[in-house]
Amino acid sequence: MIDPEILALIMLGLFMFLIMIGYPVAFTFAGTATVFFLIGWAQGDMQPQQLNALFNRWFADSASNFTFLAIPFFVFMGAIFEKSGLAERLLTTIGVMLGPLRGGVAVAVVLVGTLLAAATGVVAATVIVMGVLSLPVMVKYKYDHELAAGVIVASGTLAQLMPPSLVLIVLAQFIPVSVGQLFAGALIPGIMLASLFAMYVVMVAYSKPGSAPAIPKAERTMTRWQLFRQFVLAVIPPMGLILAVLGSIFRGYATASEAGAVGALGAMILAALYGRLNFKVLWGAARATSNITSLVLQILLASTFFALVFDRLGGQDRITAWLENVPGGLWGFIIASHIIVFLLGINLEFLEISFIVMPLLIPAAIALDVNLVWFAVLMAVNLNLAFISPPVGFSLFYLQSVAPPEVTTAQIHRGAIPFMGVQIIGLVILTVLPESVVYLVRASGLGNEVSNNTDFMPGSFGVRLVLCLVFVVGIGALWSWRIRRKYGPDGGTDVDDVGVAEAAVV
Amino acid sequence: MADEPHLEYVDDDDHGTDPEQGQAVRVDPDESEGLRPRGPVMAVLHGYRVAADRFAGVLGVISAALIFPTVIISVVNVVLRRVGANQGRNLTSNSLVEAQWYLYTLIFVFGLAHILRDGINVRVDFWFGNRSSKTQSWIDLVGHFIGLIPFAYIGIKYSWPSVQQSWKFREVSPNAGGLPLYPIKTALMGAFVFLMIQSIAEVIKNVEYLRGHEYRHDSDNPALAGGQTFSVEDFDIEKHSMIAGVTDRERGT
Repeated sequence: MIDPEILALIMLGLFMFLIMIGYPVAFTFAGTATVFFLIGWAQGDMQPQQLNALFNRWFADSASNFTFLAIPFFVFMGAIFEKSGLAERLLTTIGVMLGPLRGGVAVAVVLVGTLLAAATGVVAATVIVMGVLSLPVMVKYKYDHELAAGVIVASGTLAQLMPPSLVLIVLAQFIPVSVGQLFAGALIPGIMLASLFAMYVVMVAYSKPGSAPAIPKAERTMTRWQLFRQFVLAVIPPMGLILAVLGSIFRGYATASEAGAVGALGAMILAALYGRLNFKVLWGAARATSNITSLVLQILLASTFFALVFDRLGGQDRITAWLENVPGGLWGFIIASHIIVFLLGINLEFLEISFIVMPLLIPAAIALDVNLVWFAVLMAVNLNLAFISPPVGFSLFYLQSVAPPEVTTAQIHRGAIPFMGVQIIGLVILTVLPESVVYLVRASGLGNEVSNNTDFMPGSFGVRLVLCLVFVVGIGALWSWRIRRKYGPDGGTDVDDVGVAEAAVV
Repeated sequence: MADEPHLEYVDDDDHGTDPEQGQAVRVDPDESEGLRPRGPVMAVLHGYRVAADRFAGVLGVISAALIFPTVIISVVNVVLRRVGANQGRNLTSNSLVEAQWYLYTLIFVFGLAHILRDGINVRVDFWFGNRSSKTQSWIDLVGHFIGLIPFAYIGIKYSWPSVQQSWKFREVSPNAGGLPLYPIKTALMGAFVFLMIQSIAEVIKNVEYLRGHEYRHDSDNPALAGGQTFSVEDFDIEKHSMIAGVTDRERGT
């Protein structure tokens, strides 16, 4: 006889081990749950009737769920953007505009990555599209391979954080806040991280000019006017659509699902206006949407079963009790959650994390009166970090699969490391300035249900903001100094070396 | 297999990238399709598998096609709700509101079996990906008996009483003017029935492969790749989808 709570913990541990084998995660959930249900039954700790709740949970959480209704809409919107070539146009245009600046193409990747991240909400799509389109360009113009790979991986992974993202929709299921609130909370942090990436790129480009040279003047084929026209045509409409979708959610004008439906229609209309909408694009997008929706639900249905068995064995209560009593109270809990999510996030997809870890963390977070939106956003940033951590971060795999042969796997891995550092800086800032998350939630008027507890940070907002700025500038200066010392004042390579005469940029 | 443009989750099955092994297990050079089953039992099982795969393909088409009405109904809903709010009237109805999640539920009810057939799964594959496709097939086969089939079975077993109950009372949504609930509850149970049908086919697939069948998935077989009613493969994906283009390039086509 094993104590049921111990059994539950063995179940969780065994599951974590079993998914490493590579059998589909959803059915690993189901298999572990089946086996431990049978053990529990044999021991008399569980009765088959206890599974009767299963169908109602499935029906309430998975089927008749207005939150998850948003998933097909946002995936469809992103798939239309990607398959109709709108995403490609965005990157081409911004690349041409910024190319003549030092580090310009890399900054363009950050900008477009952020936009695409918002549009698609799916990391693989963003990383792969940008990898295909911009990595060869950066290689051609003698960008440092590590920098080029790192910037693609890092900004593509923002898709997890930039609203409307799949991760946030799924997280909202496990946290007593609305999707709109999470979207509002994640917007400023997403933009902040993107700016930090851009700042890092510019810093490197100026400290080590050979790593991110400007595209030579001779290759600028477009006049200013053409460029402006291109910008208005290719960048403004998709950006406008994304802003309209987010705006209508933040203003409380539409729910996330409603805005998603309108966004999906809007994406179709945009594609039609560009003359890129046809049956192939529509059907391809519908297939992708059906697949991803089914995938999310497959894991959700199976993990509901797992969670039910785990809960009935008493595992949930045990873990919550532990987390509430982590030494250090609230901060101890937050640090412990970060460590747990980061370690798991290296190997697991966000879906497993959301479905397994979040339900364990959230009751403790509520008991400790942590601001839940802030907590969820911190965890999402942490997941971003885990996604680009070598050697097994998911984004690295996505980029590897499309990288040109000149870019080695080791370069991609090394390139991701500085961006991990930048994300950690971002994480520190978000922790020190909870206002950056909470501000928009309150301003948008969606904030009624949010716990107002942001008072745990000592000092006024202004003081902390100044401290953060000093921190960022200080780290940037130190970093720059280190790079200069390592590569010398002219940055290793001769800048004039770069002019390869070819016409277009992308 | 440019069949499915994978956005998020890469289909990580080994697409016969191990030609040596494919050669080694092929018994009869005449059976160049590598398809012909041996013995009457395997022949019946093979027939079942082919039928189930086709059926799952049809379900996948339905699932994808449902996206469009879902979007349209939701947009109509938003418009009616906002216009109604401006005029101070309620133009939308509960049945229209509920039709949204009805359709969304049907998307995954029909989609689950289809993604199983096409091997679109979330796997942690840093170990799995480096195993031979035989080992992968063994892992899947054992896993299906412990994980997949019990899951489908439990899904059916614990849905059945609720579905029966719902039919008995002709259960209707508690919202005024809402839709009846018994059809959609039946559909939810149907998802597990479809899953069960396809999971048996998956088991047969792996058994066949381990017994010397050339392909782990039909989609790996060039002779059968075009067999679906609607195949994204027929389309000029190169031009439209960076991702599908990439998948092709990876395979060296």
